[in-house]
Amino acid sequence: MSQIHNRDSFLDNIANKLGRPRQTEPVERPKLKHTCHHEVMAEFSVDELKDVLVNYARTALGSQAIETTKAALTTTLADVCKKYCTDEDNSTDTTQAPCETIVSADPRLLAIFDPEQLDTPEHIVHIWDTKLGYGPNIEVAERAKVGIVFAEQALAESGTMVLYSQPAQGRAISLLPEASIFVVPKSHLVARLTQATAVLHEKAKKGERLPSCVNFISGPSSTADIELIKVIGVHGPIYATYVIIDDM
Amino acid sequence: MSMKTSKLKFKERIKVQMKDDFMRESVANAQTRMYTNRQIAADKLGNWEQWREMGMDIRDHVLENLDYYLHQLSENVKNNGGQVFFARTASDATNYVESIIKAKNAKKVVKSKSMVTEEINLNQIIERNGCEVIETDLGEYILQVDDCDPPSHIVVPALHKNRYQIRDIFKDKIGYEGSEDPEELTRYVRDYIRHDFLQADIGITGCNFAVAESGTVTLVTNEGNARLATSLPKTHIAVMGMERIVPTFEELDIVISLLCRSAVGIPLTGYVTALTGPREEENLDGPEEFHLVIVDNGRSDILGSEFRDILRCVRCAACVNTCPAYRHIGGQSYGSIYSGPIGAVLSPLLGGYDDFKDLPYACSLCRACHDVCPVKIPLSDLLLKHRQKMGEEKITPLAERAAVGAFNIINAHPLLWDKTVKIGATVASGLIRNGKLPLQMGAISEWTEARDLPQPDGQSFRSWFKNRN
Repeated sequence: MSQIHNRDSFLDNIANKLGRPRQTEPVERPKLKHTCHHEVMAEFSVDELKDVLVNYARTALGSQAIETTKAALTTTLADVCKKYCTDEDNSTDTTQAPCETIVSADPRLLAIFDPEQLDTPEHIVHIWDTKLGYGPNIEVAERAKVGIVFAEQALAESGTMVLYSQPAQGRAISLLPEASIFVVPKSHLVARLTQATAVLHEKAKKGERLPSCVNFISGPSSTADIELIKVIGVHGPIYATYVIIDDM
Repeated sequence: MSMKTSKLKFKERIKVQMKDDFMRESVANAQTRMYTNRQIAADKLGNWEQWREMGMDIRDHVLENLDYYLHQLSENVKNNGGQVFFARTASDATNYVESIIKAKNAKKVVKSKSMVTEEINLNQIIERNGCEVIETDLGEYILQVDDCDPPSHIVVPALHKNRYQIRDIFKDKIGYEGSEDPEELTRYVRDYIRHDFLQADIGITGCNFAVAESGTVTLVTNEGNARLATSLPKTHIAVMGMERIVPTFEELDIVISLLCRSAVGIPLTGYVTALTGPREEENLDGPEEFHLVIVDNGRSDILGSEFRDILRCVRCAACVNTCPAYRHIGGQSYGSIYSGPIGAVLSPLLGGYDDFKDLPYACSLCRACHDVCPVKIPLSDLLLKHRQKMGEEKITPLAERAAVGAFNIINAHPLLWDKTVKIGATVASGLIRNGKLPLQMGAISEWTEARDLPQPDGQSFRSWFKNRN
C-alpha cells in the first residue's frame, strides 16, 4: 500500500496558486531576525534557573517541587508516594486495596533509586516492563495512584518537564495515574523551550528519527472550559511533584 | 458540525444573542481576563515586537514555500512509517478517514479538539458508519452532549454557558447528580469517559504545527485528552490545515511561544506534545498506525489571493479576545465555527459569501486586533477588502451600492455637494421629530433604535459658517 496519496496534484496546485513552478530544490531557511529567544535568562546560573522553576511550579502550576540529593532520593520518593497514597478522602477505610505506584525502567533513574525499598504491603511498586506487553502495563498504570518518570530536561521559564518516550518509559506512566512524580537532575535544567527544541533540531538535522512522543509537561492537567475558572485535574494527572536532584 | 452553524440570518442571530444576558456578561468578563493575561505574559517575556516580527516572517516564509515544506513533511512522515493523505476538498478528507474507519471496523473514536475536523464535518461522517465519536476536550464535550450546540469561541468553545446550565445538561444527558461546582463537573467527566479512551479503536486529533524537518505533529493542549487519544488507541489520525507547518524545531520554538502567550497568557500550556510517526517497534504504548491528513478545502485559493496573510494565523484567538464587536454579539452570532475577527475574515473565504457575507461588517475597523495578533495579520484591512470585493461583485445590497454611488458623484462635484447638503438640511429639519424619522430608512432606522438623531436647524454647515454674525 502506498504511503503517500495525491501528493503531486495537491502540491502542483499550490505552486500554481503561488504563480511559479514547483519548488523542488531545497529552500534556504532565512535566519531569524532577532535573538531575543536566546537571551531569556541567558546569564542565569543553574541555581537561579532552579529557583525560577521551583517558584513557577508552586505558584502558577499548582505543583509541588522538592530538592533532594542522590543519596536521599529513595527516601524522598517514599515520602511523596506515601503522601499521595494517604491523601485520599477515604484513607481511613482500612479495607481498601493497597496503593500502587508504577515506575519508569529508565536505567538513569534505576541507577539512583531502588524501587523495591518503596514496596510495602500497603504500597505496591511496579516497574514498567516491556516483556509483559501492552495490556498488563496499561492495566497497572490505570490502577496505579502514582507514576514516577525521569525527565530529559526541565524548562525554568514555564516549569516544564521534557519527556521522551522510550521502551523503558512508556507514555502511560505520566498519564494514567492520578499523580505524576518527575525526577530531574539539576544539571538538566535549561532556561526555556529554545534549549529543548535546539536538541530536537540537532537530532533531526543528523537524520535521526525522533522519539515517537516528546512531551513538554507543565504541571498537572487542567482546564478553564467552564466559566474560565481554572480546574486542576482533568483527563491527565491531577497532582504533580517535581523532584530535583541537587548533586547530579 | 460543518462550518456554518445557524440557519438564521445574521441580524436575527444577533437579536437572539443580544438577549442572552448571561452570555454577554460572561463574554465580557472572559475577554477582559484573557486580554489582560495575554498582555501581562507578553510584557513579562519582553521584546514582544521582535517576537511578533519573527512569528510573521516564519509564517510568511512557510506560505511562500508551502509546496516544498509539505513535500518534506510527507517524506519524513513516510520514513517514520506513517501514511500521508493530501485532501483537496473536505469530502476527500472525510472519505479517507471513513475508509480507515471501515478498514478497522472501528466502533469507537476519541477526538481531541480540532477546528479543521469541525470545518470538514468529520463527526457526522464517522457516525454514519455506526461508529461512536467522543469529543474529549471538556468544552467540546459539553457542546456535544448538549445536542451539538455550536461553539462560541475558538479556544474556549463553551464560553457562552454557565455552570448551572452545564450541570443541568449533565444531569439530563449523562446521569450527573452533583453540584454546579466546576471542579466536581470536571471530575465527573474525567471518570465518565476514561473507559472510552481505553476502549477506542482510533484517536483523532488536529495539528497545531507540523515540523517539516522531522515529520512531527505538535499538539498544544491542557487537559491530557490529546495525550490519551494518541497513546492508547491503535490508530492515530491527525488532521491538519495545510498551512499549519513550520520548517524546523527552531521555528517551532517561536510560534509555540507566541501561541501559548497569545491564547491563554502563559509561557507554555500544560502539554505540548510532539508526535513523530507511529510508536517505535520496541515501545509498548502509542499508536501502531499513524495517518496524517493534510487538508486544502479552499486554502490554496486563499494562498493565491489578496487574502494570503490570513493563512499566517495560528488560531490563538487573541483577536477574538480584543474585539469590541465580539464582546457585544458573542461567538454564536457569527454563525460559523470561526468567530471574531479571524472568523469574519476566514469564514467567507472558506465558506463563501452566500453564507457569510455579513461577517465583514461585524467590525468597527478599530484595528485593536492588529495590535494583538502574534503574527501581525492586518485583519481589519482584510475585512475592508472583503467589503470592497463584495461591492465589486455586486453582492452588497443594491440600495447600499446606489447610495454609495450617488455619494461618490455628489462628493466629486463641489457645487452639487453644496446644493445637496442645503436641500438635505432643509428636508431633515422638516422630517426629524424628537430625534426620529417618520419613515423607516435602512441603516438610519436601526441606528435610531437606541439613539436620537440630532435636532437640525435647517441650514448646512457652510451656510451657517457664512452667516455667523
